[in-house]
Amino acid sequence: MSTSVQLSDFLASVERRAYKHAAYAVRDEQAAMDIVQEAMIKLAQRYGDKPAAEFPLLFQRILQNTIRDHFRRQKVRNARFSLFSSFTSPQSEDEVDALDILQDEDNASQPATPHAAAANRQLLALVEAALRQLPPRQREAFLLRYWEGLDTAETATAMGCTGGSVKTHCSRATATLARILKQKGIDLTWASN
Amino acid sequence: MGIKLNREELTALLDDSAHRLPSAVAVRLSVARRAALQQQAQPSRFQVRLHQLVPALSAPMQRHPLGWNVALLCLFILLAVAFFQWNTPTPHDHTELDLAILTDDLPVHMYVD
Repeated sequence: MSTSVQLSDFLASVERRAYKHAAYAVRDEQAAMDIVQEAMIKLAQRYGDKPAAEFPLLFQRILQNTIRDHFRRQKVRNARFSLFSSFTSPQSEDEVDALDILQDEDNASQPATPHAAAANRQLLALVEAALRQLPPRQREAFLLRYWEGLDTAETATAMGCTGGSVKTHCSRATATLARILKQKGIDLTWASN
Repeated sequence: MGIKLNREELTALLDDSAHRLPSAVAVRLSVARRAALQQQAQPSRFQVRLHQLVPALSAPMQRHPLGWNVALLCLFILLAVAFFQWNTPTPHDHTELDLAILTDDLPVHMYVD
């Protein structure tokens, strides 16, 4: 049984990374924020009385399911939108263009500066852009396994798949990342464990 | 560029990006956290009592080398004795039965078997 302080400490320790997870997946800051808030509320409401040691895995599972729910809802919305799209004016084309521009800005291909901090930011932008290019399941497995530090079994539980699938996703994600980064002049050296 | 990036450096980069979120996002995250905490599931009074009672009972058991085994054996013996005692007719029961037979006061269902 956990206290409110334990839950608060846990959420404070994971909220930023959870936001980044969601942002990588949905590529929309507002939607990412909504997803994290929804995941935190679900954890508190449904599992707030569980032992604090169970929070990390429960939260990751909830977060990943909430991201998937977001895509399902988006798919339904898009289907509805496409039904009525023939009645709209050509303005909808402009909206698509605007989104494309916004997405490019997110990729943040900023000009290089001589400062180390700026170089670091540029490197991060390249890595994040490469992460965004990964298929969703591969990115999910990669981030849970290598960033969150979950083991294969825990990652499988969080993703709702088998350990074998996790290994496959991680292996493919690493290979794809290495290939994308190689094109940008970054040599990814990965010692798998 | 020719930059080498290993696993630790990549995760450090991602950690850094998470720590350098815009302040507006950080504020919204903390607001979201507080909203979630207000909806935290509270354990029922029974759960709290049970949670307090179980360690209180189990602590002395765990200190003893045989612990729960001895406790379970004692409980089993106690139940066996109680069961045996319940099913054994006492001399008082026999006297009452004899008296009923002698006075033809035996209930009808006694003859059924």
